[in-house]
Amino acid sequence: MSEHSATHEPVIDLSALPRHAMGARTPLWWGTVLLIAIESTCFAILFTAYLYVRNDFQEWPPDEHMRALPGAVSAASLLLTIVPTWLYRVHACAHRFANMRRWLVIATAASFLAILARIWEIHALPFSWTGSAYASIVWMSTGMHTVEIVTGAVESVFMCVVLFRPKMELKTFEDVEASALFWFFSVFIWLPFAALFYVEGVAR
Amino acid sequence: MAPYAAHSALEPAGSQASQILRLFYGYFDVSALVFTLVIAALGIALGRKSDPSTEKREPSRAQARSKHRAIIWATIATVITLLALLVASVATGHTIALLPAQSPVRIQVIGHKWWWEFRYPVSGPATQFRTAYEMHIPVGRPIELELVASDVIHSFWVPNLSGKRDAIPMKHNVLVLEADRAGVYEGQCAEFCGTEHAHMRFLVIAEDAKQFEAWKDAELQSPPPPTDPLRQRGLQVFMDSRCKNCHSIGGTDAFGTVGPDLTHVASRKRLAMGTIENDPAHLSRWINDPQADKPGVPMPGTPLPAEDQRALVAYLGGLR
Amino acid sequence: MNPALESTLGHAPVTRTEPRRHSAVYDWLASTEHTSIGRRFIATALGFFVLGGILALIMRLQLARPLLHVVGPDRYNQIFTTHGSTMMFLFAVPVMQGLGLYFVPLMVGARNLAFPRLANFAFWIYLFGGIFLYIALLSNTGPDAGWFAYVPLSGPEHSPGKRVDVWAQLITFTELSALSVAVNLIVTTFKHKAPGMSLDRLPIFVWGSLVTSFMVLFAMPAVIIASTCLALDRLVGTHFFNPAEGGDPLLWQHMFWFFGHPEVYIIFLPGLGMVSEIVVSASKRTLVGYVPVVLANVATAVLAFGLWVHHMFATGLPQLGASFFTGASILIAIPTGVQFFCWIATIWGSKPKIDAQFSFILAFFATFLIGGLTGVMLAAVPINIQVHDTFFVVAHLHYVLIGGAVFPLLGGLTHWFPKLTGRLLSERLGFLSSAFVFFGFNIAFFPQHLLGLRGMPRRIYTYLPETEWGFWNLISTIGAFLLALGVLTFLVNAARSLLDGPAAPANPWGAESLEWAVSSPPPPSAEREILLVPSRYPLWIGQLGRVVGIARDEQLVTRVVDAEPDHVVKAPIPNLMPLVTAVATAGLIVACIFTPWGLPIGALFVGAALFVWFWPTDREPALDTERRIHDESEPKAEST
Repeated sequence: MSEHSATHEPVIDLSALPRHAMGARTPLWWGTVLLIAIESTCFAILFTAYLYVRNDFQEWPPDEHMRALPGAVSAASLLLTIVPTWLYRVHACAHRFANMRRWLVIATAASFLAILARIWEIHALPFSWTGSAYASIVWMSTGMHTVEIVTGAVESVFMCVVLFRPKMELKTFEDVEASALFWFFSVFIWLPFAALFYVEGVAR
Repeated sequence: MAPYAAHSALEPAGSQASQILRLFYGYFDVSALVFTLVIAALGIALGRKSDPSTEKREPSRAQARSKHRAIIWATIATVITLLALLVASVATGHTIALLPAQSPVRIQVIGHKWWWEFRYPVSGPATQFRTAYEMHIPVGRPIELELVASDVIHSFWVPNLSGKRDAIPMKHNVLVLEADRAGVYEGQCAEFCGTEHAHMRFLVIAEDAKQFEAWKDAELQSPPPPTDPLRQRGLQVFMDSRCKNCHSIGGTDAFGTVGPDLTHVASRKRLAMGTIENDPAHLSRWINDPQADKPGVPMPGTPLPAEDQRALVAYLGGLR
Repeated sequence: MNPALESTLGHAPVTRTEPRRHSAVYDWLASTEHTSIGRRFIATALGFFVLGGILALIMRLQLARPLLHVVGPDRYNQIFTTHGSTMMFLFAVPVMQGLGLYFVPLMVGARNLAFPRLANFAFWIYLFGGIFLYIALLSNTGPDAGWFAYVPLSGPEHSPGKRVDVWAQLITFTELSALSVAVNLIVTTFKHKAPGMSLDRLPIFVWGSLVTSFMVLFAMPAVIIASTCLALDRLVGTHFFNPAEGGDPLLWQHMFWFFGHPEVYIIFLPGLGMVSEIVVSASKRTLVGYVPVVLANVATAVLAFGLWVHHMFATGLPQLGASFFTGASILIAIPTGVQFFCWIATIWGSKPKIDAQFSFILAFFATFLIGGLTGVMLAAVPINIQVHDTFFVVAHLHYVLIGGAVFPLLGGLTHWFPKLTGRLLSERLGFLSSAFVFFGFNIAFFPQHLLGLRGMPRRIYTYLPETEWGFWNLISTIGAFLLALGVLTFLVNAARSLLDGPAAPANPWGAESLEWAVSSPPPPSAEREILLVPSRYPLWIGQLGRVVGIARDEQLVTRVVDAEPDHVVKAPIPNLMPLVTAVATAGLIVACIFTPWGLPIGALFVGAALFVWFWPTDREPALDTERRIHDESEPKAEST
C-alpha cells in the first residue's frame, strides 16, 4: 500500500483503517490495565503491612475474633457478580448490544447487592479501628476495597444510563469492556484479603 | 574557641571507628582512582580526531566491534572492583560485630526530647543510678549500650568511637563499643527528633579503670546537705518551686524523672546537653528562661527574685 | 469496518468536528495540547525550583556561622522540610514529566498524548498541591517533620496541629499528578508511535521516560498508602505506627523508603536519557551500545526496588539482611557504569562541539560520578553507620540529584529551548551560567562530605563554635550563592531569549530524532503530519515518509512492538471538565484534614464532575440503539 510521491518520499494511505477497535489494541485497555497495576500495588503494600505487623504480636489476632458468616457472604456475593460481568463483557466484545445492556443492568444490580453484603460485613467487624494496629489494617483494607467496589458500581450505573440513550458511540463498547476488566480486578483483589482476615481471624 | 571534646570520625579513638575509617580510606582511594580513570577517558575521547565520514551513519562492523570490546572490558573491571568493595564491606562488618564482649560494662541509654539519660546498674542496696549528659566509661573494656527511646526515634552517635545506632520507642537496640585511649568524646543525636534536635549532645568520657570506679562511687553518693545559709536557702527555693516535679537530686525529696538528674550537675562540663557553659551566669539565665538558649525545650522558665536566684544557683553549684 | 455494525450507523447526526470558538483564557485553561501542558509543567516546576532554592539559601545563611539567629528552630524545621518536599515532589518529578509530556509524543511521532484531558487534570492537581503547601508554610503551618516524616515524631502525639497533615496531603496531590502522567506516557509510547517507530527505534530519552513511568506506577502506591495511614493515625485514631498498640515505627520507614529509593531514580533516569540525546546530537554519531543502554535503564529501574533498606542501616537490622542490601546497592552502579562507557565510546573520535548545552553534560559527568562513588561508600554498612544522617549524605544526595538530574536538565533545556520556544538561547550566557552552576555547586557541596565525617549531623539549625565546623559551612554558603547566581543567569538567558532572541530553525543542531522534523515551536496537534519512520535515527538515516488519510481531529493507534498501523481514534474536544474535576478533587483532599466527612462529601462533587467529563459527546460513529436491538432480535441474524 506504500507509494512514493514525486520526491520519492514514501507515502501510505491509512484512510481505510478502522475507526473502532476492542481489547488490547486500544489505548483505553492499556490505561485500564495500568490503573489496575497501580491499585494492585496499593493493596499489595497493605497486605505486606499486615504480615509485617503480625510479626510484632505475641497473640494474633489480638482483638475479638472475626465472624465467619458475614465475611463468607460478602466474598460470595462478590464472586457471584463475576457471572453477569463476564457475560456482558463477552457481548460487548461481540458487539451484541441488547444482550450486553441486559447483562450490564443485572451486573449493576448484583454489585449493589455485594455492596449491601459488604456493609453487613463491616457492621459485623467486632472491633473499632482504634483497637490496635491489627484492627487498623483490617479496617483500612476493607475500607479501601469498599471504595473500589462502590466506585465500580457507580461507574456501572453511569454506563447503564449511557446505554439507554437513543444512540450510542461505538467507543462505548470499549468503555464497557474496560469497566468489566476493572470490576474483575476489584473482585479478585479481595480474595487474598478475605482469606487472610477470615481464615486467621476466625480460627483459634 | 577551643574544642572541649573530640567530635570526628576522622580521629578514631576506638577499635570500631578505626576499622570503619580504614574501610573508608580504602573506598576513597578506589573512588579517586576510578574518578581519575573515567575523567581521563572522557578527556581523551573529547580530544581524539574525528573522521567526518563516520558522521550521521551507523558505524562499520569493525568500528563497532572494537568499541563494544572496550565497553565489555570496562564493565568487567567495574564488576570486579565493586565485588572487591562489597567483600571488604562485609568483612569489616563482621570484624566490628565480633568485638569481644566479655564482661562488658552495661549501660542503659535513654533518649528523650532533647536530652540523654544514662542508667548504670550497680550491685548493692541501690540497683542503678541515673545521670545525664556525661557517660563515663573505662578504657579498654567493651561497653554494651542498651538504647531505648522514651518518645520519638533518636540516634546515639559518638563518631570517635563507633557508628551510630537508633533508639526507637518500645524497641531495644544494642550497640557495643570500646575506647582505646582516654579522652573526652562528644556525641550528638543523629536522628531528627524535633525542635531542639540540634542541641541534644552528650559526652563520652573514657578514663582508666580506677578513675571510672571512683566516678561510679561518687555518683552513688548523695551530696551532703548544705551548711551555709545561702545554699540552704537555695535548696529551699528548689523545693518550693516546680523544679522537683521534673528533676531529681539524691539525698533530697526531689524525685522527678521528666528531666535530667541533677545530683552531680556541678561536675558536668556543660549544661543543657552541651548548649551552654556550666557557670553561674549561664545557669542563672537558663533557669530564668530556658527558651532563650534552647527555644522549644519543655522546661518552663522560672523567674525568681534576685536573691532567690543567687541562692539557687549557689546551691546547684555545690552539687559535685 | 464490520458491515453489520455499519448498517446500524447513521441517522445520528454527526456533531460538529470543528470546535466552538472560545476565548484565549478558556483555550488555555482547557488545552489538550501536549506542548502547552508540557510547557506549563516545566515552567511551574522551575518556579518551585526557585522557591525551594530560596529556602535553601535561607538555610545556608543560618548555618554559615555558629549560633546565628537568621531563623529560629521552629521556622528552620519548616524550611528544611518544605525545601526537601518542594525539590522532590514539586520540582524534580514534575519537570521530568513535563519534558516527557512535551517531547515523548514528538519523539515517537504521535500527534498528541493518549489521554490529553488527563494530562490537563494532572497539571492542575499538581499546581493546587504546590499552592496548598506554600500557603501553609507562609501561615506558619508548614510541615516540620522532614520530607520523610518519620513516626513517632510525625504522629499525633508529637506533631499536633495540621502541619504534618499538610505534608501528607501534599503527597496525595503530587502522586495523583505523577501517576496520571506516568499512565499517559506509557500508553502514548506503546500505542501512538508513528508507523515504523518500532520499540527498538525509540530514542533513549523515550526509553528513559517509559522506564521511569513504570517506576512511578510501582513506587508511588507505597507512599500513598503510607501517608494515608499516617493521616489516619493522626486524624481518626488508628494505630498503624503506634508501638503501644502493636504498630511499628519501622513499618513507616519500610513503606516510605520502598517509595523513596525508586523516587530518586525516577528523578535522574530521565536526566540520563537527556544525556544520551545530547551526546548523540553533539557527536553526530549513532549511540554506541543502544541495546546495552536500554537494558541498563531497565536494569536500573528493576534494581531500584531492591535497595530501600540502605536508608535504615542504623535502625538495628540483622546483619545478613543488611549485607544483601549492601550488595544490591553496590551492584546498581554497574548498569549506570555501562551507560557511562557507552557515552564515552560514542564521543570517542567524534570531536563534539563543546557548546553551552554540552558544557552541562560535562558538568554532569564529573558531578554524577562523584555522587555515584559516594553512593557506593554509603552502601557499605560500616561506613554508612558513621556518616548516615550527617552532612556527608546531604553532599551525596545533592551530587547525584543536582549532578544527575539538574545538570542534564539545564543541558536539556538548552538543547530543546529552540523547539520549546522558537528562539535560541545565548551561548555566552549559557557558558556563564554553567560555569557558575558547576563551580558554585562544588564549592557548596564538596566541603559537606568533610563536615559529615567531622561529626556534623543533618537537620540541625545551628552548631557550637567549638566544633570548628564554621569555616567549611561559610565556604559552603558562599558556594550556594554562586550556584544561585548560576541559576539566575540561566533564567535571565531564558527570559531574554523569550522576549527578543534570534528565531530558531526546525533543527538548529542537526540532530537526529523526530522532534527536530517539525517547526520550532511545533504546530498544534491537528496540523501535524504523521510521519513514516525509516530508522532509529530518522533525520540522519533513511528517508522520512508521510501518512495520509487521517483527519485533523484524529489520532493514529499503532501496535505496541512493531508500530504497524492498527486503527484511528478521535481526539477529545477540550473543555473545562479536567479543571473542574481538579478543583473538586483539591477540595476533597484539603477538606479531609479537617473532617472525615470531607471524603464522602468531596467524593460526591468529584463524582459529579467525572459524570459530566465522561458524558458521551456523540462525535464518533454511533449506533441507533433501537434499530440495533430490533436487528439483533431477528431470528435470521446477519452473519458476522
